[in-house]
Amino acid sequence: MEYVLIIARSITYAQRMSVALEQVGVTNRIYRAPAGLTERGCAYAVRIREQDLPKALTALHQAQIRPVQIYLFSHGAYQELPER
Amino acid sequence: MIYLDSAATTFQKPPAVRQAMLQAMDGMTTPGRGGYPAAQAAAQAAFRCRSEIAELFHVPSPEQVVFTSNATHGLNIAIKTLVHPGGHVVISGYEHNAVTRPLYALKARTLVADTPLFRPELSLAAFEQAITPDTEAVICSQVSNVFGFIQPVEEIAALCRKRGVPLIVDASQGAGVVPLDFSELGAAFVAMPGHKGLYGPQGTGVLLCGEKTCPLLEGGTGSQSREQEMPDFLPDRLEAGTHNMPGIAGLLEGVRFVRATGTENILDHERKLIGLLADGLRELPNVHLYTGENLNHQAGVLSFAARGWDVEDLGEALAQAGVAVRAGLHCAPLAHRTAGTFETGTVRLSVSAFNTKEEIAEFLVILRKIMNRNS
Repeated sequence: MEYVLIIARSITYAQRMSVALEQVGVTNRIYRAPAGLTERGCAYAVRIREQDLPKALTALHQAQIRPVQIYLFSHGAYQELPER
Repeated sequence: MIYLDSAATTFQKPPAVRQAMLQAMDGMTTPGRGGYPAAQAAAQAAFRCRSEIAELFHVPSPEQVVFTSNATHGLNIAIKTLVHPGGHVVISGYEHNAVTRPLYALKARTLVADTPLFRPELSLAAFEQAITPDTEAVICSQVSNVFGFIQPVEEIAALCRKRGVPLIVDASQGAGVVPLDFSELGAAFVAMPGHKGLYGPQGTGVLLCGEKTCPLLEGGTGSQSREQEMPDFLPDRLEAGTHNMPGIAGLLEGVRFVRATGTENILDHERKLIGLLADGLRELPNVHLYTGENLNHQAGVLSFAARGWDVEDLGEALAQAGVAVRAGLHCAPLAHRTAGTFETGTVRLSVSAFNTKEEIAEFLVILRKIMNRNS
């Protein structure tokens, strides 16, 4: 299964992301970010389908919410993606 | 009991507030501490509460809505962020000890922009004169907690923007009653309690933040936990420790009540009741009322004194007759100095959306009986 995790710096930012994505019809869910993906420790991530990423990034840009990092989970491993 | 002490705490709450608090006790832990349902439920409630408060006060983004324990907590954060020890500050003549005591502790050089009661047209000139190039902050209450005087914070905010001085608004008495547009004000901070005009429970408060902040407390935030410095982003920067989730869940329902009822409708209702109180009190001999020519600059608070009565004795007599009022200095000695009531204090009557005309009529009958008994 492939998916994208958009890392947010806190639960509140993850929630803002979630609302912005819902508004453009991107199905998403908030999770605790995997420990190995967060250099500074304890963060939240919004999980979306890979094909929704371009639409999601546009929505987040418009809502002025900057992701901390973006990861693609594919073939059992995370791969960091550029923000744009 | 006839409850006329809503300026201290609105005692009557919408039923949904209590229900939400009970549900929070049963089903919520704290936001940002886990992915399990109880933590997620807490996060949802906290975010909804921030979002609805942001909408009510036109705050650009929910993270600028920071939960505090009360308005005093928020004011301490705001003041200690902006004012250095010994710094120059301008405040209105109607500030509460929640403002003046932190300034005293900082040994701030505090200048009072002194204006008479219910004369908002004089306020601007007083602030204009008091602000100097080294003024670090202007602090103004939206509504006097003693007299209900609505101060012209919009004009004072415009002056502060023009002079480049950060403004702190103490909205303790006005939030939920007198409209407030945070974006339009451009204030650095607006502090308010949750337990007064927002109809939330005691132990809740909100600080609306428009500036970078200094934390009053350091501790766990559920974010950036490997770092020893507090996060540099809101709300985490100011929200160390476990949240008061029953309080926040209750506050959310209180805010929803205010939004559904309409701030203007609540103010209109309270003004009508204050008008009835003022009319009734004027008929009593030896009563001195602190009101303006009309109620245009007054919210749901009315102070009075009665010749021959110590205000605390009158407050006590009313309490024994089943009426809750607040007598004395109301933790606002500066406001009493400004109004000339510092030596005696006043009896304060304050109403909420839940008071009725019938209660006001009954109160006036009770008060008349008490005063006749003593004459």
